[in-house]
Amino acid sequence: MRVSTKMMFNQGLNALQRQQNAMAEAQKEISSGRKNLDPAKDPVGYATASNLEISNKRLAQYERNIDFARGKLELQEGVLANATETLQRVKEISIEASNSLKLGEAGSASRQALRDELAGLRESLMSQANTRDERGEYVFSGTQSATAPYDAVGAYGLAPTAGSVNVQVAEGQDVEVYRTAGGVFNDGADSIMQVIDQLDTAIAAGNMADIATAQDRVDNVFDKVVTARGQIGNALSTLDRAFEDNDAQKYANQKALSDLRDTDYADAITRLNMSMTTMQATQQTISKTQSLSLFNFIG
Amino acid sequence: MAGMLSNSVSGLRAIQRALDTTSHNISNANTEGYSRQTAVISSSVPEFDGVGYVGSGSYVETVRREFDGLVERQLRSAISESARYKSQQTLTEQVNQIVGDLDAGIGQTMQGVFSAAQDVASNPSDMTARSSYLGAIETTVNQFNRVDQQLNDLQFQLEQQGAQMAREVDRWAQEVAELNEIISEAYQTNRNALPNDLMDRRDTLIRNIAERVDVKTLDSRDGNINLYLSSGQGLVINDIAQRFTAESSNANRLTVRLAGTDVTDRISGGSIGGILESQDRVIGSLRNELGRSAMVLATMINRSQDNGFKYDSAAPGEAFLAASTGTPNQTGLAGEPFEGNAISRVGNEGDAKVEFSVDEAYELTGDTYELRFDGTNWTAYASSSPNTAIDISADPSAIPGLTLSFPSGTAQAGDTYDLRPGEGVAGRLRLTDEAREPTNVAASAAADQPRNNENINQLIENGRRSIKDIVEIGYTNNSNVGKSLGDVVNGAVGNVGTYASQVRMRAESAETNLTYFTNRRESLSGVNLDEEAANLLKFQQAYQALARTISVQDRVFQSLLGAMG
Repeated sequence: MRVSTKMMFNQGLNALQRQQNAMAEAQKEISSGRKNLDPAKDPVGYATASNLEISNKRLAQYERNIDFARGKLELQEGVLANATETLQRVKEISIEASNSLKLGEAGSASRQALRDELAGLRESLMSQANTRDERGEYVFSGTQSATAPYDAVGAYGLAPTAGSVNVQVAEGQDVEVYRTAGGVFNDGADSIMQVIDQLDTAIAAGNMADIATAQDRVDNVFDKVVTARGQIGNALSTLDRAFEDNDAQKYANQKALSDLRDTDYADAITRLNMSMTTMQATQQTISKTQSLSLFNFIG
Repeated sequence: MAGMLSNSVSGLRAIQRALDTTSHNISNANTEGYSRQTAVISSSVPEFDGVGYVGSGSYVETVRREFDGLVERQLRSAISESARYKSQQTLTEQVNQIVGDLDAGIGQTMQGVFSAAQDVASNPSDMTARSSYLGAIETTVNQFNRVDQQLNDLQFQLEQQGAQMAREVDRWAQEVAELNEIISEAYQTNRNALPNDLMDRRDTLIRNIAERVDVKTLDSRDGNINLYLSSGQGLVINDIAQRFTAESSNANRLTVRLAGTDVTDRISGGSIGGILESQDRVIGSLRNELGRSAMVLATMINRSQDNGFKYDSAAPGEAFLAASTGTPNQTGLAGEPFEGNAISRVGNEGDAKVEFSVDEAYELTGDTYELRFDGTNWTAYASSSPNTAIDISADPSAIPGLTLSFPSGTAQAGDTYDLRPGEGVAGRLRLTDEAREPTNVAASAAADQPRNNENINQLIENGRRSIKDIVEIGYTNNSNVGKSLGDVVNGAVGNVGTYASQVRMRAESAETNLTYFTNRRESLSGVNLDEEAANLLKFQQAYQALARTISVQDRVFQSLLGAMG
């Protein structure tokens, strides 16, 4: 095949350019630490990486939600633990009062002491039910965060439409973070404060039957509080599990992303060396062949 | 006349021509499009001198151009193909830069809105979370605006390039016509004495034209080469060149005309062909999809606002996004639909106005449509199924998601309109004034419940679902699994990537083809300096020998003169 002078030059030039390209690519990969994930070169890899990024963002969001939920639930747990103890003492007082009446102790002085203590316990429960978080919002108000669950006289202050607040902590998994006080501190329509008022009235009047009724009602609320604590405990376990699942998912995503996106240094450096060697060889070949010309030998 | 002297002199003249040709080759070794020339030396007609035939020297019969029409045709075709894919490759790479960023692409930014919504859902009474949510919406709107603008700018740039290229083709065609005139005249004078360099120039011009537009040639064997577009229209016939122009039509597209006729659909090769295909396939389709995504996002957020209540209030939420530059608002809510008009093609004879109103953004398919009027009926053809006719006259809402109307004007038979529902919407998307105030975020599904997050939870859920499965008050459509909003946006970007990958592969293979045919041409027509050097030696020797012959003849003559005293 006949070869023209221009063709030989062009071939040499093209070879040089190809090597330079390969070298530049390898260099870029090494210095940036990332492969050139180009949607044109690898559309599937690009789409996968894109989805993984989005999934990771969502997982990070869940992590934040879990932290937030945990804080709020632990706060409620603490309050309810105190409330349990308070209610326990209320129960004991009602039994003591009842015993005192049965024994026929005429003096209302000792019962007065009980009644005084009862008033103090009522205050505690009121402030526990009306607990506010660091932002000044009522913890046990459900969706009506700005309204106190119990007003100054202890009556239930939330609207019947107030509901609980759920927060998403993992794919398809919700956790109830805020509940309404009605489900924890009420017996029927009456609040525990109103029940204690009834107990107080009963002790003052010396009415055993009323004391017994009030005692039952206090027991009802006690059970509700214990149940609520149980639910919160379950929720906290759910949070732990969700956290671990999310973490595992995040790790798997990171690994997949890294495989797709991050430079394989061994591979990149090898390529760089190879293209450098080839480039040197090409350059030398070009300079040797271009210097061959018949004109060098003519006159 | 035969004889030593005249034979030698004729030889000298022939050799001189040959040397001239060789030096011409050498000086043009690097000239673009040059075909090497060979002086063809033939022996002169011998004379009969009674005893036998005696040779009468040599002469240059012709200077032959080393040229093969078949190789040239194949090379031209390879040039057209390679130029087409290269121009598409450049364009798709530019588009990728605009939309394809993994970390900050439009898909990711939109996801940020739903992420911020999650923060509001956990903490509905936290004003910071609400502000962040509004901020995420604003960032997304800005990015929609910016990407649409950049794509629009890219389209404009393409149109400029296309117009420039068409001007070049026009100029070259003009020059080819002039050369045709000169060369065909020379052909008539003497078929064997053709102006080789002018023919080289003409071939170079034709190759340049082929790089812009694919053309067919017809050698009419009388010195003319006629050029035709691949679909048959004549560009250069003998010494007449038709005007070849390209300009931006009012449909925001490049339109190409030959002698005033619209040939846009008939050009498929060369850089101009590449531009024409890309403007619809890449830019137009992407802008339409982005617009559709913008409409779906706006509808989703606005409906969520409409269904919910402002912070700790009984007032219902108001729309946050609108796609208009004036009143009335286009929010996607009932009574405020997205609107636009279909664009009349240049060359339509009627003056009908065609408008569309989006009934349900969730039902838009992402197609663009061609509307044709045949004199009585309007029919639409979707870009994804261009052979299926949709009867608009029978049902103006036949196109999924929108309704067409014809408020004024009359159309003539043969009129065509382009309907691109999404194009430009992403650029017009803006925040309403209500979207600046955090308490306006309607997270709550009930009045006066500051910590209620049910409404915003529903929005987050909608963002994840297939667009057709979105459940909202007043809209339920339980069709099968389809694409979610995020999928639509990522899909549109992914399509560009897939197309870019195809184009790149074709560009590479076209490049290989081009190299092969360029080498073949070079092999045949290219100058080899060593070969010319050898020729120089050859002719130089012959010249010296002939010069010596002449001096011998001179001595013979002198001897003769001397002998005659």
